[in-house]
Amino acid sequence: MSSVPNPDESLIARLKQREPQAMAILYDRFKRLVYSIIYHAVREQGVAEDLTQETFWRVWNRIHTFDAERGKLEQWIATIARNRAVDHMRATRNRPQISFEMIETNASFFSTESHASRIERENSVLKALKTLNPAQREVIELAHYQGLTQMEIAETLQRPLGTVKSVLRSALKVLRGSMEGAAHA
Amino acid sequence: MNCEELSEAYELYALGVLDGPEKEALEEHIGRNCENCMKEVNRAVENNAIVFRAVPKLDPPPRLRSRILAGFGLETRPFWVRALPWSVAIASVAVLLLTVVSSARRKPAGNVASAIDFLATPGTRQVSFGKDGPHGSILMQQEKGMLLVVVNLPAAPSGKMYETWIVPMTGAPKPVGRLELAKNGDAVGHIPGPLNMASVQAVAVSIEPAGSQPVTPTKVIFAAPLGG
Repeated sequence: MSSVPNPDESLIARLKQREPQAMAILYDRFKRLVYSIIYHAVREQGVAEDLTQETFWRVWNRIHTFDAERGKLEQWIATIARNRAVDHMRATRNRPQISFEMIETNASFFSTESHASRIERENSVLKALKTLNPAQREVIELAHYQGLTQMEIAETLQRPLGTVKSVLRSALKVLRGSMEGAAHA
Repeated sequence: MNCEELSEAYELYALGVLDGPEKEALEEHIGRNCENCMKEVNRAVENNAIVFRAVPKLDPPPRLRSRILAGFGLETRPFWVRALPWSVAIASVAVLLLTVVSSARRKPAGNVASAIDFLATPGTRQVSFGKDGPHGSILMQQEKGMLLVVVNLPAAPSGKMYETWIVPMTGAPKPVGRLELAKNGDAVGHIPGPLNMASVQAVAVSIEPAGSQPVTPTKVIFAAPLGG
């Protein structure tokens, strides 16, 4: 268990005590993150606003499942925002819905790394994203922000499934390598 | 498939986009609490979240703050709601409810009692809608549902009726029942819970042919957004 103090702990405690004022703090702290992730995916201001609202309601309704000792609030909220955008886009395209229950559970956000190493890892990812070639970036965009499966990406780009799998996995390998490299630096 | 063969599937699974035999194999590992796969999926969820956060940052419009926080009883509310203590506002709605239900003579006394119980439940959230023409309040409570209170609603034209709709965040509006109108132009509708309020965008009322069971709204009279 990490001994690093978690700055979100008191905010999470207040949310769990159902203090509406804590939602104002939460909103001010994460509005940019939530709105940016959603807008990047849906590209429509009105829809992005609706989904931002839905994301904050979901955080409020699910906060009791979040363990402040272990979880990282920002990553949890980023994941919820992305998943709401993907839910919306899949519904508008008549694609089958994805269950994000397991992915959004608190256990998935366990980490013992320090704040400094987290920042280092994030910077490494940002650098790695810039090193991806256009084809790799395209499939990362479709998988991460649009929530398309490999088969759906192949249909969308009209490319063979094998090619899509190969490009996507090479891109993920670059990103994973950058994160692991930073973690061991 | 063993864990080694699944090593490139964790991020895709954590994104919800893995399909085919790899998805089945990974879910089989998770189903039997494979320690390595659980750890790797958790790491992948965390890695993916870092990628999500790498988008160009934008500020949401300032009005969104008011809209979202109004749903939590914060920020701007109509003057009459801010001016009245909460208990008085609840009591006022309860009196209106009693008046409307008794004058309409359509619902048994038990419904009145359960509606008042609904109003008095802690955690009930309230939003107002409309200004001129039909206006009123919606009271929402996770377990008990919603209470729609409308005033100044004109009588439905001959051969027509009012229908209430739930407008979800995504998907088509769903009919939830006829809205009965009292002689004084007030109406109260109860949409039973439990209710996932985060999934509801608005409550709407439409005019429909009398006695029909509409599937889509014919003519919407008003739609009250729950965001405030």
